[in-house]
Amino acid sequence: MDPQPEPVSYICGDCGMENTLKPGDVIQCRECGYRILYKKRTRRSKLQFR
Amino acid sequence: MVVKPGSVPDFEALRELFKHHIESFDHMVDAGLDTAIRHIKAVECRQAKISYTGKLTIDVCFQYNDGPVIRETLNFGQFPIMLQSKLCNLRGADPKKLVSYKEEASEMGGYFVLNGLERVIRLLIMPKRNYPTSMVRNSFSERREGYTDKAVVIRCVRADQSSLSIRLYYLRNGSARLGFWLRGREYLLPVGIVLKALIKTSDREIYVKLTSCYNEKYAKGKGVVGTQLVGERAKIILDELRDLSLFTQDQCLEYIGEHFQPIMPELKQASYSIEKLEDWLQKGRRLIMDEIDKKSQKFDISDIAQVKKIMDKNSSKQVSAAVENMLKTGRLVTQTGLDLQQRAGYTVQAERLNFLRFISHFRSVHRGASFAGLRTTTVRKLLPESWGFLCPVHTPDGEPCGLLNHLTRTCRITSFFDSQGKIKDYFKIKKSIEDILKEVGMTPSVPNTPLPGPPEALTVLLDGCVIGCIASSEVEKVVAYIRELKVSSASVIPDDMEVGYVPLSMGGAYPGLYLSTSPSRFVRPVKNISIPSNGNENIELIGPFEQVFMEIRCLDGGDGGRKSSFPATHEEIHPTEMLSVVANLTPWSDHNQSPRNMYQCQMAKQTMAFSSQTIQHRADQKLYHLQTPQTPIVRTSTYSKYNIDEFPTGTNAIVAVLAYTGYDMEDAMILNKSSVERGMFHGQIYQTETIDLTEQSRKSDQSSRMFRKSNVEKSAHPSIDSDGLPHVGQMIRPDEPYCSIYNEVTSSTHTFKRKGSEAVYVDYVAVDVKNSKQLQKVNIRFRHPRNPVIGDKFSSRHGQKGVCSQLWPDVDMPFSGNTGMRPDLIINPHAFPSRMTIAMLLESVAAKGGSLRGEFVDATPFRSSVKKDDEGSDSKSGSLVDDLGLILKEKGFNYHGLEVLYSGVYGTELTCEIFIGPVYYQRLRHMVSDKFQVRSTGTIDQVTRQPIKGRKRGGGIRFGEMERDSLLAHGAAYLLHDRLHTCSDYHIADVCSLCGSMLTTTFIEPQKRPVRQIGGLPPGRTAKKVTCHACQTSRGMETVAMPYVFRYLAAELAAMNIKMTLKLTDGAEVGA
Amino acid sequence: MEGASYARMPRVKIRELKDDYAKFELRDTDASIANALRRVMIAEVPTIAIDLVEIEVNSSVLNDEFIAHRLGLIPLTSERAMSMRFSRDCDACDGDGQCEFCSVEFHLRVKCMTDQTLDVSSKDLYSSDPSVVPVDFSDPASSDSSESRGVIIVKLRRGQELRLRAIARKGIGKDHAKWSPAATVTFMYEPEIHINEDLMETLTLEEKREWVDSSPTRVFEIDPVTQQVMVVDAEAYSYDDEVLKKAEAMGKPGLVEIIARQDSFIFTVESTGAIKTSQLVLNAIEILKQKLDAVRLSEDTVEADDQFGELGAHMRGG
Repeated sequence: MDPQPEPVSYICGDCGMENTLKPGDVIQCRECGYRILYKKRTRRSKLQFR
Repeated sequence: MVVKPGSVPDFEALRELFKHHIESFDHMVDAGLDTAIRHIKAVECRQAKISYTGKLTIDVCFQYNDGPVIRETLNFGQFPIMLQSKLCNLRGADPKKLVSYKEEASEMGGYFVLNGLERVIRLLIMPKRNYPTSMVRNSFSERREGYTDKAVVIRCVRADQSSLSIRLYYLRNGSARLGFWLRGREYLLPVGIVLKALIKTSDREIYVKLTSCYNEKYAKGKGVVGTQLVGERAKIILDELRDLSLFTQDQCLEYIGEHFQPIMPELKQASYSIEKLEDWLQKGRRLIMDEIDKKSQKFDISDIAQVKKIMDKNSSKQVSAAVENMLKTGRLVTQTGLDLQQRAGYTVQAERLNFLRFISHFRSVHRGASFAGLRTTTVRKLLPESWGFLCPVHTPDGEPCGLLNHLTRTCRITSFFDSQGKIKDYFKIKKSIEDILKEVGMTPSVPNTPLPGPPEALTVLLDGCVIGCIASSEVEKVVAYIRELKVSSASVIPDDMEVGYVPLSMGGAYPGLYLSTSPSRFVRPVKNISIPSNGNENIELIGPFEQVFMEIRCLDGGDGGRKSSFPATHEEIHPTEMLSVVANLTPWSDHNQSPRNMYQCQMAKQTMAFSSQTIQHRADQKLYHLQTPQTPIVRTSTYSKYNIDEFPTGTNAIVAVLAYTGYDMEDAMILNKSSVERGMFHGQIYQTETIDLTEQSRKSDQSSRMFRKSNVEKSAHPSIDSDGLPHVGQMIRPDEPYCSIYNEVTSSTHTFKRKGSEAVYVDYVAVDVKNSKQLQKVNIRFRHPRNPVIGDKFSSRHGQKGVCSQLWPDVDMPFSGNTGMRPDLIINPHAFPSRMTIAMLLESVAAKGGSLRGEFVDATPFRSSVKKDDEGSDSKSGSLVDDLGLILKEKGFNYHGLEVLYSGVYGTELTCEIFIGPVYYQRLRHMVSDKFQVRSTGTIDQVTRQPIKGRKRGGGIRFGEMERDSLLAHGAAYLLHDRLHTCSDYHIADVCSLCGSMLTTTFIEPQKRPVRQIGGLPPGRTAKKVTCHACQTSRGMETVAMPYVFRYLAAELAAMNIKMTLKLTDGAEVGA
Repeated sequence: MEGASYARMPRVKIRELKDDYAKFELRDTDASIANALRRVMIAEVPTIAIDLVEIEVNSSVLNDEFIAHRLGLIPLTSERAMSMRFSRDCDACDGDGQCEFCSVEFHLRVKCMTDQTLDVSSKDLYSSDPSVVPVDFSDPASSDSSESRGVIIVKLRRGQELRLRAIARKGIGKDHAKWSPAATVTFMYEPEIHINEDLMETLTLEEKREWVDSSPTRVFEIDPVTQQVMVVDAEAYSYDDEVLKKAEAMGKPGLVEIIARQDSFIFTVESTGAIKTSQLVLNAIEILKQKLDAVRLSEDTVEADDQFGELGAHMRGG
């Protein structure tokens, strides 16, 4: 199969812990077990302000 | 209002508005449910799009043939829980704790979270319970031979809130029939049978009791209700019985039993069903009872194990599921009908477009869906009963006008809880009321002894039961005494009891003393001025029924034409109490033309405002958000009372009223470009897209799909991260993919593309598991920046809406020579004369004065009428205009709010002084970006080849008949041809001029081979060879331009065996 | 009057001049010039303001656009602006507008580590050019520096972070209000007030007082000694005609005559702090001159382009 994609960081919606997950990982905060995670902001997003 | 940091604003007043929802749910819980709370947070439900539920367990008792009672606790599934109810874990949390739960600090609850949506149960108006109403309806006389159009209807409600409407039809022969509905059928009984069957009685007793309302002493006078005809009618009723040879109770019961044998099970069923009134929550209980009933019929074995097995078979979870479904859809699935008029529309989604809209959902009350179709306007009228209970201003314009009402600010609904929050003991209450009444001279009703009727004495009814009678000379004193007891906190009489005293009258309502203590009644506070008090001790709660017969003084300064013989016993607390919360927010609404206040109530609810303080944690499908809200300078006392500052709805804009540049014609308005650039009315829409793999893969096999970026075209979609989801904070343009799903079975990827025409930002990406451990569901929230553009809609708080027509450069705006001030917004003076929104002018002057002084201005309506009462408290007792004008003058401004302005373009003085000042403006949610529609070329309809319609699909706007007419009238033939033909379904058809058919023509494939490669030249376009299939020749082929639909018409006609023949001539012959 | 020159020599008399406030008289000219000066001061004197924001981390409560917008509105000291290039016609950088000639880079890196809310303000912006910094609004008189935190951008709670890079560019208020150096520019026609003394004497003291009080601003006063009405502050008059209307109502039309002088103006200028008011006025005059030159030379547009660069094109293209 194709090479594994790089892991992506998520932040727990409850405790704010950062979790790094690979595809296929269990979606759950390692700290508190909360199951709604928010994706962490990574890449620079350019914002042209006018 | 300045809230000191750390101090907690008081949301009690706000909570009060939502109390009826919560109380009714609490009652339901208390009355029959035992629900174990699952510890889940409401936010989580909203985020994950699941329901806020708790486990419902029910103790079921089994008893067989006098055997021992066996208690068994059964799991009845997940039952929806109302927020802030007794079962909710937010109950009793202080604002700080609520914030830590990621809820609004002011969270009032009162709704359910179902699949992430917030749904409220709608309030419905029902006939007053346990009170007979006489009716005249033509449909009654058509019921059967011998029926008149008159009947008496009573909606009987039992203690378990189940109800049944019973009708008593008057017959032409003087008798009466009792009618009741069962399973969609009406059953009619001669009334005499019922009278006899109920208790052991004799004909004489019945006769005496029936005729007790008539007394020869009073021939015709005040309060006489009976004539000697009553006796005759009573005889007829009894004669009917005699004709059926029914003389005793047993005979009557037997008779009924014989005739109702086939429907007996249904009778039983009906007895189980529980009715509910305005608090629809009772519904849940009914369903449960229904379920229990169904099951109980199956049991015939006394073995618990076996019973349990049967129970398991009969999935108990469906009880909760049924309730949840009812709440989700608002549809009531029931066999019995529950004595209700409608099947659907019991719940609505509580939209959080803005706070006012949200509140309104909880305070709205519907007249009933069955009335919506009625052609008559009578049901929509505002009746004296509803004064002070339903807001006369806050009702929508148009179709639901008068049917969808809103409760006034002070209107409450009685519940099973008293003011201390304790459950009322109705039995005790009833007993003590009876005792008190006996003390003050009521003759208690004893079976078999007739009570005297009016006008001698008035019958006393408590919740529909006759409990005695009081001499009519005494009754007024008794009523006053009961009211006194009602108000005093020491007495057992509940403070929300309705003392419906109907006095003796000439042909008025049937006299009597109707006491009701039941829940689900409207009550509102008024001052009882016959009780001396030095505080709030004389506040009495009154109901709609009694208020019609009471003397309540309005605070309009006058006495309402009241005669001195009927002095006012009560007094309104404040005139604004007759208005709803939203209507109360309009400043000085008493100075506006009334329809404008109605428009404002509508527009306040579609304002793009500061909708939520917990916006970070919300996953609403669409959420409008105003970036830079302000608190209004001019506000009513209600504004601070309900802490609307937590969710402000607009901006104080400097408004100049003048005709400048012409771009402010016809309700257009000019916005100052620089003001907008500095942030005025900036806002955004938060839109959440939920992608649920479990939902989509239902058709195919499970878990074969996952979020994954395509490996093939790795660089193709820079907007998609390696996990198949978009990057947070990134901009996504229209038609750009933002999410990709990989199917493991087909090893294909599917990408989701942004629709629409504007670029959006990814606000957050929330991943969620939904039952399985794998990533199954994502919520992607997008942010649409929505700064004001030409075409956006704005409105003041006075029903003055307008569309932005220009963003005008700051330097070109008129300016004040003294202050250098340029207006933020220009409106046209023509907006005022015909609409007469004087309050808007007052607001402008007041806000100007207020901002000069650095104070908020109180704009509570009906100031002048309240002022007379507490004169002296305010030093300046001049007119409102005078007060406001003098402030301006004091600060060196024109008394009338006018200012000399200079043209921004020429620098010269404008010829008149301009009315300018701050006015609170709201931005409405209707924005051009959501509405504009353009098309040059695009998709066409497959059948007609005409452009399609619909904004979403890139369709066009119909150029209809009226548009065609106008072009015709202009003689613009070529334009017309262009629009209707060239730009539409232009088609060149081959027609055979010999047979006149356009359908029989066929292409003949030209022989390609020989023509090819002649001299290395590219192949010349071979002429299409068309032949007529019918004539077997291509001689008469002609091409004709026509709309494609014409060909379609020909084909359709051919399908019906109709041949369409075209006669072709060339242009020269047309003139002939 | 044939051949007579209409050219006048306008005079300026400065009454009050502070860094952010100026009041001066402009005489011997007409409304067109006065208004042109006002318009240029508001909309065409260039300043520097943040125009591009690259957000790296933003876990604050405000969204990216909101913060970018707020950053843009922070006034930056713009003495350099007149000599700077517009990034759109900067040849040093190929139009990406990020070179030292046409832009200034800012950095902001704040993270709240305490339980107390942290105010992120314009003081936290670090500039690549010491001459272009957020305007300091602290009162130089009071040495209490802890008070002056600058313009608040956002408040952070524990754990929240804001990290961004911002590019400030030269621009004019016509394009966006953030580049406008003027908070307020206004002028009024200088009023000339003549009291008809004879008619005034026919009034009783009570009537005089009533008349004087009819003006919302304090223009007239009654001399406590002579009990005569006199003009105390003619410029306080706002052309509201209140006194004229009052005189009319009292049956004494012509009690006072007020003329707006068509050639004399009193200017009030308030600056955002980006440029000192003195410089603002001078820059405005300079730009006005350039514009007039551009008009004069506009027959020969190509040469005008060479000479005046974007201004010439600007004049023609709007």
